[in-house]
Amino acid sequence: MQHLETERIAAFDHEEPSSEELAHLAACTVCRTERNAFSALNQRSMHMGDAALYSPAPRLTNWESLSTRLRAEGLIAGEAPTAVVHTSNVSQPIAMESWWQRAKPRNNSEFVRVIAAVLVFTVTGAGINQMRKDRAASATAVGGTSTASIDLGLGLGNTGFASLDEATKALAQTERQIDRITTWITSNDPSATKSALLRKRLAALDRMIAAAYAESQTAPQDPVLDHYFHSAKAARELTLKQLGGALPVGRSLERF
Amino acid sequence: MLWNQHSAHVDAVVRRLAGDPDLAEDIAQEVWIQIFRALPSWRGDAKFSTWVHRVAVNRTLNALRSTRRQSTVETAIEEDSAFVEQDGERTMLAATIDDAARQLSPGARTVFLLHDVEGYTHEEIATELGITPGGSKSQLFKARAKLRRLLAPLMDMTEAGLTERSYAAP
Repeated sequence: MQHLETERIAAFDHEEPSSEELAHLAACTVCRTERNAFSALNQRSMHMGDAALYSPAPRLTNWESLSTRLRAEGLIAGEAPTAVVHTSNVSQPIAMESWWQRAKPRNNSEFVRVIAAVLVFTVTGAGINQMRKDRAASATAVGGTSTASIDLGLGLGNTGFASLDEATKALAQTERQIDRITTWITSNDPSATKSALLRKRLAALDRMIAAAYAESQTAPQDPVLDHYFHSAKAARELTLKQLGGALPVGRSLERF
Repeated sequence: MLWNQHSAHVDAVVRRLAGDPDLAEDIAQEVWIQIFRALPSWRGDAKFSTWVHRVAVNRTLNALRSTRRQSTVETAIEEDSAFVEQDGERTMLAATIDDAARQLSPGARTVFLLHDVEGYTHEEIATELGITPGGSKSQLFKARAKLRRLLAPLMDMTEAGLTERSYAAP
C-alpha cells in the first residue's frame, strides 16, 4: 500500500483530505497515526509560547540600562533609577501611572476594600455589562480620616450583550482593568513584606496555572480556560515581583 | 511597570524568533525602544499585551532582516528547503519542539514559528517576509514534516506511554 506523503498529511489542517485520501486513512493505521501525530504537534506548537514564559533564562534587558537609553531619546522623563532591587522597576514612569497615583489608598482598611472590590469585579466579570456606564467604587477609610475613589469602570447593571463581539470587547477591557488594578495593588500592598503569605499565594497560583494548562490541552480553544490561565499567570508574575521586594536589597527571585 | 509586566513575554518572542542567544540580547533592547516609541500609536482597539506582542515580532523580524541572517532566510525560502543541512539529515533526537525547530532552515523556522506558534496568517507572513502566501504554506508543511521526523522518537514514546496507561488492565 502506498502511504500518503508526509507533507500532505501535514497540510490536512489547511486542506481537507480528498475522498481517496479519506478512504486510505480509514484503511491505513500508519497514516492515521501520522495524522494524529501532526495534530498533537500542532497543539504543542500552539502552547510553545506559554511554556517559554516559565523559562528560567535571565531577562534579555534590564530596566536600568534601558531606561537610560529611553531618557536619552526623550521617550520617558524622570530621574535615573537608584534602587537595585528587582521591584524598583515597578515605580518607573510609564504611560498608565497617573491612574493608580490618583487612587492610592492610605491605610490597610482601604487596601482591604480595594481587594474586596477587585474580587467582586473578578467574580462578576463574566457577566458584566458593556462598560459604557463606568461606575466609581469609593473606598472610604475606617475612622473617616481619608477617602480614596477608584473608577473601576464596572457597569454592574447586567443586562447582557448585544453580540459576541461586544462581549469580547468588554472582556478585553475588563482584563485591562484587572491588569491595572493588580499592578496598583502590587505597588501599594502593605502586606508585601509578609513573604510567607506571598509564597502561599504563589503556590496556589502555580496550582491554578497547572490545572488550567492541563485542561486546555483537551480544550485549547476554550476562552474561559484561556482567560483563567492568563489571569493566573499575570497574578503570578506580580506576586513574584512582590516577593522579590521582600528580599534584601540587591536580591531578586525569579522563580519559587 | 510596563517593562516589568511584559518583559518575560517580549523575551520569549525575541528568543524564539532570533534563535541565537547573543542576537536575541541585541534585538531585545531595540524592541523595547520601539515599543516606547510606538506607545502613542496604541489606540486601545487591541489588548495591550497583543499590541506589545505584534511590535516585538515586527521589530525582531526587521532586525533579523537587517542582518545577514535574513538573507539566509530569503535564500532558504527560494530554495524551498526546510532543513539547514541539505546533505544528510541530522538524526539527533530533539527534546522539544524548540530544539527541533533550531534544526530547520531560518526561512522554514520563521514561517513555522509565525504561523503555528505566534498565530499569524499566511497572508501576514507573506507581507512580513516578502514571499507569497503559497510559499509560506509550502514552507510550513515542509517544516512540520521535518519537525515530525525529528520529534518522532519522543512523540511516539509519549503516545505509547499514554496508550499503555489508557488501556492498562485494572
